Amino acid sequence: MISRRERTLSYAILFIFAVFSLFPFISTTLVAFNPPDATVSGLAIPQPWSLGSFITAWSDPDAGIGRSMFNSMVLATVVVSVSVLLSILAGYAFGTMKFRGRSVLFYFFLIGLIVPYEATIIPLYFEFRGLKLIDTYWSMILPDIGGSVAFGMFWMTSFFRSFPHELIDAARIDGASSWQTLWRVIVPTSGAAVFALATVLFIWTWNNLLLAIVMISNPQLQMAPAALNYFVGRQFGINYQVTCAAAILVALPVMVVYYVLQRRYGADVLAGSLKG
Amino acid sequence: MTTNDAVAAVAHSLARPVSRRGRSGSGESRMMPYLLILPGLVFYALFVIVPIIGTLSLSLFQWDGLTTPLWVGLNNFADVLADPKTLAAFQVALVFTLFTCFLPVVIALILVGAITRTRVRGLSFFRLVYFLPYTLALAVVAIAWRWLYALDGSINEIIRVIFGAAATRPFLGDFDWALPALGVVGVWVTFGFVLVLLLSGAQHIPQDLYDQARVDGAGPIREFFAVTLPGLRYELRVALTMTLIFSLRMFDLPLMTTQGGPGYATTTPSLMMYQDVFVNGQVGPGAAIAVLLTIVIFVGVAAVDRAFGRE
Repeated sequence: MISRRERTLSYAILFIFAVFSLFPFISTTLVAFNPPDATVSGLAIPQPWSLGSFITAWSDPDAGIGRSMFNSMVLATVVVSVSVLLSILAGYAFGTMKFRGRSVLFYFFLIGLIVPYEATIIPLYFEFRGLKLIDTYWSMILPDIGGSVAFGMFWMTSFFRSFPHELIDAARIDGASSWQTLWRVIVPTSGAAVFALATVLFIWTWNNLLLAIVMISNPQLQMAPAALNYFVGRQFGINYQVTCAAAILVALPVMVVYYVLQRRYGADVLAGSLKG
Repeated sequence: MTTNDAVAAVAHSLARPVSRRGRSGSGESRMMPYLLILPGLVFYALFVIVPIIGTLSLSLFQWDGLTTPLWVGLNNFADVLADPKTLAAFQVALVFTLFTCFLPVVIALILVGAITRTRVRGLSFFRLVYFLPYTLALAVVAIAWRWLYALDGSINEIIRVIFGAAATRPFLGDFDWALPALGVVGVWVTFGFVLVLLLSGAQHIPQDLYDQARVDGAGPIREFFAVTLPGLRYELRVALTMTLIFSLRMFDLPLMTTQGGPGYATTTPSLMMYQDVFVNGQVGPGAAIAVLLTIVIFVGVAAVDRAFGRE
C-alpha cells in the first residue's frame, strides 16, 4: 500500500515543478500590465493595472507586431496545409502499400528528422538571393515545407500502418480505387492524427526564428518571432513591460491552438505526435 | 462477432476476385505509391537534401557571398578547428545538452516515479501546466526570461528577500552565470515535454508488472529501476533524441538574451555560423561550422540510438 507520507511527498514534488513552470508566465504577465512609462522592479505588481504596454507594443510602427502576426499566420496556414497534404499522400504509400525501393526511400526521408536548418540555410539563402526570392514568402514557405514533410510523412506512415487493414480491403472490394479509398475511408477517420500533425507543424512554423531573420529583411514582410527580435534589439530592449506585452501578444495564438486541441485530444496525443 | 471480424470475413471471402482485378489493373496501381510519394519527395529533396550538399561544397571555398568563390579545400575546417572560439562554442553546446537534454530527462523520471506509484489526482492539470512552456516560441521565452533575470527583475527580488541584496546579480551579463542561467531556461522549456512523453509511455506498462514487483517486496526505488525504467526505453530514446538536437542547435535563446556574450560565454555553434555567414560575410568558415555541427548531431543521435535502440 502507498503510505500517506509518500502520497504527500508526490504532490509536493509535482507542486514545486508546477510553480517552476508557471512562475515565468505569472511574472511576465504581471510586468506587462504596467503602464509603458512606469519604472518596474521586483515582482512588478501593476499599480494601476494598464493595457498601455500592450497598446504601445501593438501600435509601434517600426516593429509591426500586428502585421508580423498576420504574416506568420499566412505562412503557417500555407505551410501546414501543403505539408499535411503531402504527408498524407506519402504516408499512405509507405504505410499501406508494398513497392520496390520502399525501405530505401523511407530511410532517405528519415535523414530529414535529424538534419537541422543550420545545415541547409546557407545555400538556400544564396540560391534564393540568386532567384530574387529573398524578401518574399516563398523564401520561407519552400524550406518550411521541405523541413516539415520528413516529419509529417514519418508521422502519417506510423499512423496508417496501424490503420485497420480490413477497412481498406473492404473499400477495395466495393470497387473503390486506392485514391478513393484514401479520401473516402481513411482520411475521414484519421482526424486526431491529422489534427495533431497540423498542430505540431503550426507551432514549428510559427516559431522558426533562424529562417525568419535570414530570409526576410523587409519590415513589411517580417514574421512574428523576428519582429520580437527586432523589438528587443531596438529602443524597447530594456523596457520590460513593453517587450513582455509584445511577447504575450505573439504567444497567445499558439497557446490558444494548443489549449483547444489538448482539450479535444488530450496532451498525450500532442506529445505522442512529437515523437521523432 | 465484432464489426472488424465481420469486415475481415467478408474481405477474406472476396479476396480472390480483388487480387485478380489488381493484377489486370496494370500500370496505374503499380505506379501509384511512387506518384503518392513524389510531391513530398520533390520538396524534401530540393529544400533539404540538395542544400546539405550545397553546405558541404560551400565549406570548401573561401567566399564573401559576392565575389567569385575561391577553392581552398579543407582549409576552412583547419582554420575553424584551430580557432579556440570554435571549441568554446561546442563546449557551450555541451553545457546546453547537459541542461536541456539530460537534466529534464532526470527530472521527468523522478516525477514519473512519483506519479505512477501514487496515482495522482488532477494529473491532466499538471500535464497541461508542465507542457505549456514547450509550446512557446523561443523568441517569446527569451523575452520573458530577460525580464526574470534582470537586475531589477523578479528572480533577483526573490533572491534579495531570501539571501540579501549582496547575492543579487545581473545573471545574463555575468561571465560565470550567463550560461547556467540560460541552461535553466532550457530545462524550463523541455522538461514538461519530456515528462508528457514519458508519462504516456508509463501508461502502457502493464499493471501486473508492478503487482509482481510488490509481491516480491520491491520498494519504490527497486520498483522504479526494475519496472518503470525498462518499460520507458522507447520513450526515453525519443525524448533524448529530440532534446539533444534541440540543445545542440540552440540559437534563438542566446541570440535574443545575450547575443552570445558576455565575451563568448554563451556563443553556440549555430550563433557562430549565423554571425560568420550573415553578419561577417565569411561563408566558408560558417559552412564548415554548420557541417561540424551536423556531424556532431548525427553522432549524438546515433549514440542515443545505440544506447536505447531496439533490443
